[in-house]
Amino acid sequence: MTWSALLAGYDPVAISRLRRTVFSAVDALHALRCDDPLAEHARSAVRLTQQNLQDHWLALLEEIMRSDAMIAWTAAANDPARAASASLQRWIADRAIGPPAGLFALAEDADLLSLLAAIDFPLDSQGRFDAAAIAVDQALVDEIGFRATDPRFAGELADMALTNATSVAALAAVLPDTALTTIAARLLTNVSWVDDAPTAASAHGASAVVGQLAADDPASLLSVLTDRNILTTLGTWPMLDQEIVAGAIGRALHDTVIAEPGLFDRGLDAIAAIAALAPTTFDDGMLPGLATGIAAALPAYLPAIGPAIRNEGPEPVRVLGTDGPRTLATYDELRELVGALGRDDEALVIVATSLAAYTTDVVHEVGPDLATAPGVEYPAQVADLVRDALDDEHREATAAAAASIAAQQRRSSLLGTAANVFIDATRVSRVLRTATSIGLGLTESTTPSSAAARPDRSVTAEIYDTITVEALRVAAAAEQLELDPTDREALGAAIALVDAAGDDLGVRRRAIIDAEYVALHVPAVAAFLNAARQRSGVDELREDRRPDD
Amino acid sequence: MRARVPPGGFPLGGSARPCRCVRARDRQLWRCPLSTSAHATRLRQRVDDLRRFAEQLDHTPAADVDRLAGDDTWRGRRPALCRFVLRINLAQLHAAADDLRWQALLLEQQADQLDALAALAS
Repeated sequence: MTWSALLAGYDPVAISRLRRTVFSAVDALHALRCDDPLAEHARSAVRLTQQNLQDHWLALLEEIMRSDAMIAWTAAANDPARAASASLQRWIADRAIGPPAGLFALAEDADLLSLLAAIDFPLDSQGRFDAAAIAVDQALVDEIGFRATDPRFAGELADMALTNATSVAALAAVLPDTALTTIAARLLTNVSWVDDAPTAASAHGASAVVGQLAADDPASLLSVLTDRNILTTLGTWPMLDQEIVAGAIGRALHDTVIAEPGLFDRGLDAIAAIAALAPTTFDDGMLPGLATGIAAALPAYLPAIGPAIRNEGPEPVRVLGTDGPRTLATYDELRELVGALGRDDEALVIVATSLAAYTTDVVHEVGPDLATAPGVEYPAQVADLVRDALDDEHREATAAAAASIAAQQRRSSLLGTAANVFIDATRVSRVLRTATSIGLGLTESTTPSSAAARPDRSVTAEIYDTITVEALRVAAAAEQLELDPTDREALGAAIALVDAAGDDLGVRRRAIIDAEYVALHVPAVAAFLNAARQRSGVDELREDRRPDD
Repeated sequence: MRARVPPGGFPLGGSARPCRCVRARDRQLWRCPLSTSAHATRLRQRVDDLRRFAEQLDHTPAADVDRLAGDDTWRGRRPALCRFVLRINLAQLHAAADDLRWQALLLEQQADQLDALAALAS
């Protein structure tokens, strides 16, 4: 039965006529008399007929009359012969009426759920909902949406979702966030690994519920992202729609935290839970949806993680949360997490892009105080972590290319942004969008077929170059350095050559080296640049730089 | 002591006592108080009753109920169950009506035989 079939309602005239006929039949049967002993069997048949009409027919008809046919309506959906009655639909169309308002208001919960379960939701060729084919009966939808505010009903709905995920997911848009959270958690903690149609339907339902929850209330989704089982499902259950998962995770982990800074600790909880699973569950990587979602959320957490990285190994990384310092994970766990993300090309590109954008942000935030104030070493520490996590040349090259292009393009995407502005919500969101768009664009350009275009360097070297270029840009604009106009012009020209390199990474690298030579001939700039690059952690990045290449 | 009920019920009446006229042997033993023609008349009354009853069963309003209870009126498990049982009821009623007509035919034959006996005796 499709939703359109549910537009059928009882014909009150026909029901009334039927009821009168049943009464007449009962009376007529009651009036039948035959005392002949040979009619004993016939009398029994009459009694049985009379009993059926009284006990079943009249009882049901009375029930329908009393309750606006709701119980029988609900039961109707369970009818195995669920084809819509064309004539009844015609009858309704002719009269331009639908089911009476509040039709389901008095229905039992179980009846509503049965009705929902009985509806066939057509799937398209990809096995997804064919929304256009579902003409939703608003009365039913409203009633279920209203009742789902009750945790008990929401629990029943979640139970039902385990076997009828598509039915529940089709109503996801009207379900309250609390119910969606319950259903999402239930679906993601009870998964089947059998590759069959019911499992596929369940996965599609789970994907839809997760997507809807992320759209409606990403904070609620964020709250369940600390559950090990749910994270395991998101990262390893291949039947989930990876695109939906990626968007939902990014939205929950990033947008929520940016929009509501009070939820930052909850985001850290989720990152901590994911990091704890990295050495075991995600040792061989995770599915693209979760990986890209986490990677896209990194810009929200790098400003906290960067300063917190101090010692390698099993040492705890303590970040500054909303409520003060707290342990996020050990260095090894974070390294494993980045390693797991790095197994997915797109996630790796986004990680490197985020890192480059973070580096540029920090350099411009600290500005002319780069040589003395802390800050530039933070992205350097993250870059070191990323390099440690990538144990494969291909991945290192991919990350380096992504970081390089991100550093090149970020400037144009954030053109006009003041150098010393603290990262605010808008800016971080823009960084995310930029990183993601660059990341997506790089996925193709960094495939093995374009290996020649990739620099044979590590991500740390690219971050070192990024610090160099951005520091020069700061120096060129800084009034404190009191540069001679000629020197300032020469420096500006060198930087312009770097900018003009475009996506040609080799040209960019040579242009950066040329700019360094220019800077060395301007004592104030050279001192500024050297002081900045000699800060703890930054200088070590130079080891991976091979300017002779 | 209660009278033994013959197989198939009491062939000649609805009273609690078995009819003594049904078989010649009984008639000889107990001396049936009814005349042969009176028996035949009684049998024919029963034939009429049975056939009228059969006719009523065939045309009970229950058939109208089934006709009016299609999908256009209502649908669902419970309505389907009601209709299913009703159709069994109607089939039982029709079978009972056929049986009544068969019994009526047998009684009618007996009445004819009694009439023939009466004619011979006279």
